[in-house]
Amino acid sequence: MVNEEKLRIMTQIALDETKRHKTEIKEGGYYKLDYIRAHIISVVWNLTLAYVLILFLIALYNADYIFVNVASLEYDRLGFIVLGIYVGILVLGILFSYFHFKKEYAKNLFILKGYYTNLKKLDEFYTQNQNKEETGDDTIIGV
Amino acid sequence: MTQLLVFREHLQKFYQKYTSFLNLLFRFLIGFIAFSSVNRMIGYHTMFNRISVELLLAAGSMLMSGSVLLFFTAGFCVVHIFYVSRVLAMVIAVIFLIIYFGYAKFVPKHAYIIFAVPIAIPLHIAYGIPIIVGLVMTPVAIVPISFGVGIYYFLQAVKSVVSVSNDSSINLYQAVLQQFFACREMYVMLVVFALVTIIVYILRNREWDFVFEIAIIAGAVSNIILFLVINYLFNIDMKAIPFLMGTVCSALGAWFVQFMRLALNYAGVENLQFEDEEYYYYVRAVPKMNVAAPSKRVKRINARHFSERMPSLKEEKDKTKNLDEN
Repeated sequence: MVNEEKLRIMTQIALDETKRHKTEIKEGGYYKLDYIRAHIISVVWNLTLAYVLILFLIALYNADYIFVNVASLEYDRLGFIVLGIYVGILVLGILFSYFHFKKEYAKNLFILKGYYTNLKKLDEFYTQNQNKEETGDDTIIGV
Repeated sequence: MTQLLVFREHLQKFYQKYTSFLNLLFRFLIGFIAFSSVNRMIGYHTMFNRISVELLLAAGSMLMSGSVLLFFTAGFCVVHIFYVSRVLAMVIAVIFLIIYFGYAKFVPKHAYIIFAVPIAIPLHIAYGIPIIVGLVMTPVAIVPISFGVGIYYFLQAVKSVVSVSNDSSINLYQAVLQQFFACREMYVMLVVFALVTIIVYILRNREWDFVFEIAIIAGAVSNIILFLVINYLFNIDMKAIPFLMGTVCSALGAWFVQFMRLALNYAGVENLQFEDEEYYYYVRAVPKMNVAAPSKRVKRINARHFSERMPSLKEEKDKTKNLDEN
């Protein structure tokens, strides 16, 4: 027979896993430091890509000037400025993402609490069923 | 007010009843508005600048998730510009990638704001976006609004440069960028939208009665004043009537969004005070307005219909009729 309570819990779990908290559940297995570190690496990678693309656009805009003065450009100064800005952006990005993902981790833990409670309840249902089957009178009496 | 609350309940029930169908319809409409806006703005490719293509793409967008639709809209822009200049198409594709890697990947929900702004500006309803954003988000959302405004004016610069130039080299990119950075209207819009977002955000966090309504009105009024004053100071021409009409419609739209999201009953405010070991609390609790929508049941009393359904009654009725005749 269909158990309504069990069905309700299973629906909640399925909703959590597929729609509501898909990402949180996926990232729920990480330790706090690993979670923050992984996200910071992603931030660094994405910011680097975005910065390279911005540099490409700037270079394209000044293409004529660069081709004409390719021999006389002050590469040391240019490199220092480009690297300086890059480091500045990275430091800001890392700082911001450290605090942001620390907060996110705490939020995710709170969300996952409900999900794990439901899982526990479902597990209890199965354990109860198993116990019933085990204690049930199904002994065969020999002839 | 009760009528409005009942209407809201009916609307919510209607949406719940036909969720799957309405979601598809909304996706179709959003897709259609997005693709037709791109066509109206930069519809250079004659093969794609057709209503049939817009309808086809909108039908396709019913099967897409939000992020895929954004990707396709961006791709649609690039395809149109590619028809005019390969360099400009590459530049716009790179700009979209920069926005994606530099911002949208970290805050995916803000990507919708980035794309909503360039679509809403030509329709004169973009004034509602900073008001709604101020009501439901934090001032960080100024960043996607600014990206959206930037994209719109970049596409406008592309449009105006392409209309006067036959060149398709890097010079075209330089001309577009010069025009883009020289556009004073863009700076005005960036400043006004940022200020309106902050004003609405600050006001909606106050503890006043009807605070959301006050925030919306203040946002709309400050939008009008700031645009008029700054445009006057910088000698920028603007069409006053569409602007005013757009602001009023945007404010009404923002109020509707707010009403559907949260309606509070300020007549039932309760002020509580209590304490624990560390603090003394002053709490102001405002109840939410909820009205159960009356379900109409029409009871049909039809004697003929009734007697037809009840054969025994019909027979009895016929008998009495015969007796009377005799």
